[in-house]
Amino acid sequence: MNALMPSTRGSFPATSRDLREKYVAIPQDVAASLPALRIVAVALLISLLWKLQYFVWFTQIYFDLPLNDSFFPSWLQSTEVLIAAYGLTLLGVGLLALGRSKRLLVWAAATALIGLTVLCVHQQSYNDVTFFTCWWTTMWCLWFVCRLGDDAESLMVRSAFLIHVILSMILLGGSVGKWTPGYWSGEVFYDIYFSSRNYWLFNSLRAAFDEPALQTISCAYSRFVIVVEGCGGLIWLLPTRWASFLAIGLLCNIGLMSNTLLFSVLACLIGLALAALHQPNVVTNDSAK
Amino acid sequence: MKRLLEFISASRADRDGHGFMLLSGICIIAVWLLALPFSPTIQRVTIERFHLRSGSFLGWVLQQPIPPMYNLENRIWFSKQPLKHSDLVDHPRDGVETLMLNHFPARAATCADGRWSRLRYDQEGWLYLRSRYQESEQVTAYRIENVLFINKEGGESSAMWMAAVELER
Repeated sequence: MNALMPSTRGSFPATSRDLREKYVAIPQDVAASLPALRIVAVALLISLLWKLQYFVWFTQIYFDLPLNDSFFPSWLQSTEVLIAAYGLTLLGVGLLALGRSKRLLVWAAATALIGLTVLCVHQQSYNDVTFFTCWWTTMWCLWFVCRLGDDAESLMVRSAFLIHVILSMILLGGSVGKWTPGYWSGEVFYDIYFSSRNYWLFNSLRAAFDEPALQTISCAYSRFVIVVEGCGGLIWLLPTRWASFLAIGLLCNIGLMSNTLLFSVLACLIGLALAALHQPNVVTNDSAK
Repeated sequence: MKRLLEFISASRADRDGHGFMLLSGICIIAVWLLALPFSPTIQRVTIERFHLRSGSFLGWVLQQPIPPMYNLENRIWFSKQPLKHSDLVDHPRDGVETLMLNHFPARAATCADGRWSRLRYDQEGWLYLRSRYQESEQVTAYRIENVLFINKEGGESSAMWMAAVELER
């Protein structure tokens, strides 16, 4: 308690209101910006926990069937490191969702980013794109918490733009990587989804159509995905609200049209798009008077 | 563009160097992505990234922030016997498993579900990865085997190893 109390020697005793404003109350610009961070932190938690049962099952397999290779450093092949990185990430994101002071939030974001960086380069998790999208989302969080205290309106303008640039880059990557004959013809999606994937959409299509028809549908589906993701790469050019609503629609569509496990990848990005819609409610000094 | 100008002027006013750095990193990645269809070098580097065959681990790590989702045409073959290049076809003979993967095809062995389905019994086999992007194509062969070694206590232990090997033509 003493550590929180200011010294009153040589000055008048502070009132309880002074103390609250100095040590407890969050500065107005910070308070006005925090809801955006909370939305993203909760979305990050959803992403990280969406496939928790798979994560637990996978770690059991990694303990039972360790695989050595010369590409990854040995510590990045250790299942203990994998679990520690995942735990560290959850801890950091949890603090991002609950923390109040800027210093704590910066530490929380940095902790989560370190954990996710390890997960993105670990032999047992590098392939899981959930950690990739969470990494970019946490990069935004770290930038955002470092800027807490800036004028809230200016911060939210910059924040929304950065969010839409991140989303555009990710969607562009999805589209450009598919500019190949195999995707344009629908062959890849046919093999991955249409021929055997157990998901309501593909099960219904298999029940209703024969193989040639399915291949035609797969071709249309694949081209639709390439074009839509390519257009998604341009959302940063749109006005803020349009960009966010379009991104949320696109991301939900990707999940619902492919498989719901993809929401572990998409939830944090949807959270980002929602955060860009946040309008700070700042009472200026003039209006307060 | 109006939003970009607003971002720049607001960042200048608030001296937000971190924001500029983040934006610069994203722009570099966007340029890399847009160059992918036109540059055989970037295509080769990307395929090597997907096959865990980058020249250095650091070079591979630096590419990890680049979006990989559903990129390239990736097909794998897994067999208990070594295969030749001519065996790597879409409909191979019995005993050879083949499927397409959306990204990072080496996960057929590195990721838990791949290990479980292919390696849980005898822990041996040959894994072949083929990735294509327009004119670029690369095939990587991995030998997975259970190796006996002398442990720190001087006793015998075994461990599963995955190592790249030459593909027989």
